[in-house]
Amino acid sequence: MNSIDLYESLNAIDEDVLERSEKPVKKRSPWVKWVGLAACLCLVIAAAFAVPGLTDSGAGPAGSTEDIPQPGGTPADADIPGADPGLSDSVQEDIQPAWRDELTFNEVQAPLADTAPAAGVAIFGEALTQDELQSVQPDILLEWMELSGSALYYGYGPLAMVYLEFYNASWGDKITCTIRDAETPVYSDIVIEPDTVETSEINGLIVTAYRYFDPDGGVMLWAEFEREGLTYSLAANVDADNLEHAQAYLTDVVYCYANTVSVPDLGFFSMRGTHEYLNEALTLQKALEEETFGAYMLSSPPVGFSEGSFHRYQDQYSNYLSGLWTKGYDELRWKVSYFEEDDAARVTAAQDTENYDLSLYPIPMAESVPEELREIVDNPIFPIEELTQEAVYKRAYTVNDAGDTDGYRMRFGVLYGDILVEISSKSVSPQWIYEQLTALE
Amino acid sequence: MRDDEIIELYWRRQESAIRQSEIKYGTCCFTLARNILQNTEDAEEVVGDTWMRAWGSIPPRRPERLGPYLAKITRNLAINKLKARGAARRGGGETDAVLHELGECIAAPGSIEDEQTARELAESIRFFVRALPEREGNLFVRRYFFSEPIPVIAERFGLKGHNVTVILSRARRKLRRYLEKEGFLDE
Repeated sequence: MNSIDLYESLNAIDEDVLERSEKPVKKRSPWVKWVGLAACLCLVIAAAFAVPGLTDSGAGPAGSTEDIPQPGGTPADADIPGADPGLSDSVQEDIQPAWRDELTFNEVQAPLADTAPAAGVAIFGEALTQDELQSVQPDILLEWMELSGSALYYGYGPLAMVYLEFYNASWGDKITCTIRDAETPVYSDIVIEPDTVETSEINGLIVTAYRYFDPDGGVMLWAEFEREGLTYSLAANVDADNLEHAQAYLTDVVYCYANTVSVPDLGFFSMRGTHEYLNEALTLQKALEEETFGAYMLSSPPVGFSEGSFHRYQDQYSNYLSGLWTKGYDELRWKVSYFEEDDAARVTAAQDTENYDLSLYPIPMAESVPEELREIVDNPIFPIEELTQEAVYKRAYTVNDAGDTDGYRMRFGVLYGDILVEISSKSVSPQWIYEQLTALE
Repeated sequence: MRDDEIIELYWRRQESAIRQSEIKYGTCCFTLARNILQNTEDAEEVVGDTWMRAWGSIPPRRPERLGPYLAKITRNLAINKLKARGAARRGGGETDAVLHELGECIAAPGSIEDEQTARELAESIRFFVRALPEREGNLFVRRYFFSEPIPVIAERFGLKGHNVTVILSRARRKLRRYLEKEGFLDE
């Protein structure tokens, strides 16, 4: 391959993507986007915390445990110059500790929503034990800090990073912090930095802090520093009314770490649970023999299609066996997974044609499909006993795009008990698809 | 005139279809061709050929998005002309810069000889660009599909040129990793 080949291949970019690039992207609300790595991890954490039993939190977002300092004071507080015990009781403090002015926030032009951790690398979250929590928290904690956290592990075993939440009950919000080995490769191409980035020095700690004002009225704050080979990333997402508090509390966390002598040993962490993690390419034979889903994999492609590639994947959130066959621009994707609760809204009976008959909805479908039916019309699921040849044909449509083939396209799923088979195809006969699906019964 | 009305003219075999295409998309097709070819005369020739190709292909096609459809034709024709010129007479400037940048994404240079590999590469690229975060994808498309100069992209997206360069550089690194993973750099 040479660069002309690559350049030429870009002609395959979808036309809607080309059209989209004409217009700058509308900035999204900070409530839904990532802030660098810290933000990436929030998603992982959010998902991790959503797994029943993963956290030991039974009361409130902090998930506090008995050893976590509570309002009312910690012995260490007295060591912090200017720490007024009164300040933690309210967000209306009159006395500001001096350190809260020491952090300079660089204004960021426009943060970019960007990638999650590297594709294909599953991350599992486990709530921190008391020992683990104590090993990564600052030597000193302010009264407002209710601390909880998770360890995030790569699917193949090693620790990716530690995630902490410093929750302030009276404020009702939190400062998040991730700690990772400074050498850990991460995607951090979120921030468009100003040309000149100012750093702050707090008790000898060099800190780079950023602030982004979203046009929608939100503010994102984040700060990074390194200590003894570890990178700390702090973040807060708040509305503009809470900016002052968020800056103060984020600076508090920085200050506490700046006054910390102990160094966490991340080598101390190891995955306790046994998480199923699979991420492997299979041959056709292995795919068909795969014990969980293999019985529902397609055994041979349509005439003229490639031999196919097969993939078995499982992590905390996904569990499937997939196959892909291609013929030039044409393709057939076949995915087998367990039917999940979330899929239930897409199940349709054959008689409910408004749920799946694409001929009822002229293009642009965004305008013709009622909002309440969009999800099911986009990707319906037929119980196998409801699947008819007519229904499959009603899912088929054609498009006319330059540089693309214009055969039938289809997307839908079929339910076999608790097994869901989902297909997505270009230029494959509906009749052929129907025959393969009914043959699986 | 709306796209569907212009397409209807093509379908009715009315030559005003070409005129309307020219009015609506002539400038962007010309800019695209000139970005690639770095030569006004050649660009005009390519744009003229674009209307002929469109005339010949609509019908039977009925493109959903006429602008991108025409842009792809223009780009194909311009690249063909570029290839016919040979490396020594590419015209320098933006095209060489774009090709040089894309060169970072490939391993040892060599040509793709078979059509199947070319198609697989195209499909992989299509997938890669669609999978990029929207903003990054848009910058990538403006630079490597439309061959727009960095300052133009910066202006379009309200960014500094340096920022555009950094974002594109990261996107290219991702592309290289992706191509490696997909096995295109094994040769």
